Amino acid sequence: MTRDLRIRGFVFIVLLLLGWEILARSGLLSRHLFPPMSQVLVTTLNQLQQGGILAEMGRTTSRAAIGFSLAILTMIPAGVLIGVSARLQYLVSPLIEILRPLPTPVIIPVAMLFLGVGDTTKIFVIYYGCSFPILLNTIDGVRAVHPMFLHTARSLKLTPTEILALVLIPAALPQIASGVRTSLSISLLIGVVAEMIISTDGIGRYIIQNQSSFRVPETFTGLLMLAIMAYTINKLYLTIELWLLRWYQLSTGEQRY
Amino acid sequence: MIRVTKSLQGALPIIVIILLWEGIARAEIVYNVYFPSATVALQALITLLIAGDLIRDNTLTLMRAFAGFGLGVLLGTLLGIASASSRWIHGLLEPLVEFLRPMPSASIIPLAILFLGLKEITFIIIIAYAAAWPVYINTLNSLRGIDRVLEDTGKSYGLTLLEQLLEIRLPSAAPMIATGLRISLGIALISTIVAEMLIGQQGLGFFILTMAFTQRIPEMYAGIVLTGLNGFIVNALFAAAIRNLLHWHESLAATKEREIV
Repeated sequence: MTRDLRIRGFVFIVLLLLGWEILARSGLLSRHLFPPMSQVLVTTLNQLQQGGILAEMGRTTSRAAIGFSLAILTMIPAGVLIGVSARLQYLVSPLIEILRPLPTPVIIPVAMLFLGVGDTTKIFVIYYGCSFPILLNTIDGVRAVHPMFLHTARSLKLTPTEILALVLIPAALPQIASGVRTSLSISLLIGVVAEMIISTDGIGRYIIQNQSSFRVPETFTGLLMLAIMAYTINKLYLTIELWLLRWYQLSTGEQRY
Repeated sequence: MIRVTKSLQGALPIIVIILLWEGIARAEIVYNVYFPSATVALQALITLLIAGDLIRDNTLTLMRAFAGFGLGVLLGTLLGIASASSRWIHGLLEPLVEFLRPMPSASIIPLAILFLGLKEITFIIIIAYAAAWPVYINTLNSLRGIDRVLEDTGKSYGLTLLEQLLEIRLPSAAPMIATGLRISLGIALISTIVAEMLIGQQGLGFFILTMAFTQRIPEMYAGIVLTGLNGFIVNALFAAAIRNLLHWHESLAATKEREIV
């Protein structure tokens, strides 16, 4: 039944693409501005054969991956520390509250001044953007751990390290994961935006450069490849997350996806 | 009296941060041409606000953000309701949604500028596209997750489908839809800045980037501070509005009780 409905959705996509093809060939719109879907596909295949676009996608992905991983590696420990210590939270929360409403893209010009237009700037901005959801969710997750768990752990005479590793972090993990999931899409968004503003390389630059020189099929190619890339990365991440949190799904009976 | 102390407590962190900023810049820990002190940046902000240019840019940015947000919310809620009400529509949309949702929303900016040119509507459509996603997802999920008993009660009272939607399903889903709206509002503000940075000739995003490229650093920081203020004020107003509008909902009423205890 569900499968039937999904097939309908795919048919819908095919129909949309066909509609695009017919509309573009009908001559109602400028052929130059609105190329038929088949021409976009041919361009895409050509570009893939030349391989340049794959290299651009690789650069975008690797920068996003580095910034994203750095955010995970630093912000989960920081969030656990802040979540456990009320004093630390009192100290850092003003800084967090002030920086949080600031849209990450406005950091790009500042980072550019200090770090130039190289990879460092882009990775830093991605890192900055990814940090907040992970940090805030980790703090919340650790603070929301049920007191009963902690009492039990203490009465079992677990050491603080054991409590951290066996009780606090696992209990906070679902919420940490939701922060990490948000950050994953932020890493791609900020990565692409940074490439569009500081046009040195990457899929963001590829799209904007082709657009500004009115190479419309190539612009569509860039968008298509970006969509495929984002979709694949997202699917890959969800698979990993599902595997890492399989015990949680089992214990709550919660089913996702 | 209590209220005064409370708002002072709220302002304290801001004062601490500004003093810290001032101290770091004065001590020249960071290269201070690129990191002017808070007083220099605030002075630039005040000068620019009095001159009126920045007020014009800021008004434009906020208008774009709100217009885009409004359109996005309209689209997101309508599609969410349609998708939640009919398995047929849901099946139709889902593969497309699944494919497009992970794609960074800013990447449609080049496409929009190709087809629509540099008009106000281009900005609004870009912002609406980005803002529609969280509303769509939250409306869909909250409507689908409604308590069966509520739905069945409505049916047994013989309510029409529209009445069921307006009297039962939407009110019951309201808090989660509101969460979606709040996320969307933030996204609308961010998208506006991004769009203005990339294709704007006016607006706060354009202003910040231009100041950075022309090395008018205090003015750049003034723009950044203003962006932060926008986000802060809009968010606070929205949260207050939601609290007032949804005070009757059991989930919010329950939080209030907990706070009192």
